[in-house]
Amino acid sequence: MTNQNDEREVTREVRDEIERFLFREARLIDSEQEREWLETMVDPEVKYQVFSRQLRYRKDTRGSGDKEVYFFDDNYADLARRVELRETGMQWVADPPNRLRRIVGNIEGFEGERAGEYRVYSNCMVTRNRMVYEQMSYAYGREDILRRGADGKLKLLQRVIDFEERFVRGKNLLFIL
Amino acid sequence: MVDVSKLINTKDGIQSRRIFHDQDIYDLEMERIFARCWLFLTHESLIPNAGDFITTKMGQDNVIVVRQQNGKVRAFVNSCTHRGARVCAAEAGNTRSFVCSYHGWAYGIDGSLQGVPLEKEVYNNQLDKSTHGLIEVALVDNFCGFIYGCFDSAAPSLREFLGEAAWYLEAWMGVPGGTELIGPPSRSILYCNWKTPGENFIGDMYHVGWTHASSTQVLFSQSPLMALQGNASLPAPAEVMGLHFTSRGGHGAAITYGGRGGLYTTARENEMLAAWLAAQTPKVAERLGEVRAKLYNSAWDGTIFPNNSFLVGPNTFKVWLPRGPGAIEALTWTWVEKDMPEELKRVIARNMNQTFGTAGMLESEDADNMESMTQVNDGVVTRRGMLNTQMGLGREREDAVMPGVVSDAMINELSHRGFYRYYQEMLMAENWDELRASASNWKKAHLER
Ligand code: FES
Ligand SMILES: [Fe+2]
Repeated sequence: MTNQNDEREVTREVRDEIERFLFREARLIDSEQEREWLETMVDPEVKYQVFSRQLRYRKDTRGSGDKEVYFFDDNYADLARRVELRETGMQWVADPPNRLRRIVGNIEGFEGERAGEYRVYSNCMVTRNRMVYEQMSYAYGREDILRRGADGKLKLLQRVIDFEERFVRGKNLLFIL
Repeated sequence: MVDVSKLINTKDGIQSRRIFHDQDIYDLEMERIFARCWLFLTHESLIPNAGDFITTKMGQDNVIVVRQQNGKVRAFVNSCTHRGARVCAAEAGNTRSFVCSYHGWAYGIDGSLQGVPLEKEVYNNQLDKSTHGLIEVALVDNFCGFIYGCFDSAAPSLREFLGEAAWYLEAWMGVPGGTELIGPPSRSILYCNWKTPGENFIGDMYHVGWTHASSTQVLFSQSPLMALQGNASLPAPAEVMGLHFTSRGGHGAAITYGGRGGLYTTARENEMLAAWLAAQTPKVAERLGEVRAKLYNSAWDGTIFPNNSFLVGPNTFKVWLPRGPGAIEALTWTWVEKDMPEELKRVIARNMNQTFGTAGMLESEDADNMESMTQVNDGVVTRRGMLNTQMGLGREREDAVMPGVVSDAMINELSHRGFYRYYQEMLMAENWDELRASASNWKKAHLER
């Protein structure tokens, strides 16, 4: 996280624009319009990461090995493949359709390192209903960088999620977080 | 008492559906399989230094695996000998001691009880610390750096337990330079019986073209496996494409010749792996022979009995930890060869997580099958029946070079039948002596018609 002192809050207009962006994104993803999301809201240079940290003692600095595992470490082509999967019409896990519903809150927007970039924090609560009996929920925080594209619209340039639930009770994270 | 003799019929290749449902069968599995078999713990590469530890489970027993000052690895039950609380809450790390969070008893990394708060004042120095060390896992050993533990001191050595499978496993675990796991694992729940993913990984190439129809099309367009998409036809006769093997200890795999490459998402990534394999193959051939050099270049899905599965190609390494008859915890690592360039290791890990990790596109497709084939057996009528693993029945043979029993077709169910043969034997045997006594004629169940 950026040091609070370095953070310059965005103007009210930009803040509204960011909020509209996140809400539209939530609506598109939750209504199976990922193609529209990908093509109109995602920067071609996107970096999309979700990782999980191994639980270690606070004072333990000597332990060996990596401390994180990346569930997602995707670029634009990777995200496109995830979208394509459903479009094959043979992704049985999504047929009958899964239903996603998310609440996006705690939105904060700051000026980014480069002009036209914004650092955006938000929290998400997602419920996924599928296959008559299954209901799963997920809560996580997002750190995004949005960048203004050539068309003047905001695009998702980076999303990093430090996923808190170490043992994933929702079985898998096969959706756009 | 369960009549285990009726649950499995190896000759006919059928199993009772009750093995995915009944609590009393599950309890017997915990006693006779999980408390007696070698079970995967961790890899040498994840705990290289003295004091490095990880916590995991053997069956439903919590254990700590820790490297000693002398370099050896020992494992202990993660429960305090005072009132039983857990002595380590972290998943991994480095420590000099394990201190119980309840009253503060402190254990050394050798499991001995070292410190008892207010020992003199409240125990009048009468507590015998020497008999209150952590319960030790009887046997710990490694095969090509993969560390396994066993609760039963009468068990055979790890090498003997792996039996004929060791010859095959060396073709990817025991290559020059060795292998390592990239940690930490991802961890997630599945509401399935622990055997369902094990039998899927042990040799189910039949489901690849169907369950994974969408992902083979989108992800594997550069792989020979792409040809399986839709289960409509085979690119070559199944016996030309690969084989199944099974072994005394129920370990087995399906091997698809030449299928290791082409499974990554970009041409560049596939070329990186191809270059690595081309450079390594002569070295593998020199150490392990031409047959295993061919296996080294193949795609595999396999299971080490009872609950440890792997893929060669996607390079997944999994453990299925039972949580009752209807739930498991899946632990997933990426395995790589130690000498691979760092960039190639990262490519493999990234691709592995995209396919078989917690957000893995193939993983979630498998999960629905594992869960439904478990949950339907809640129905009393449904679970009366038997299930079928007869594919390839009658085509089993012995080979001059390859040990165990093999069958020439990688779409096959020989390795499933071998898994359940040994499963039944473990459940029936009172002890390891009985299992040893029946070891010499195990092949008959597959070869005699
Ligand atoms: S239970 Fe561990 S110190 Fe009492
Ligand atoms: Fe699968």
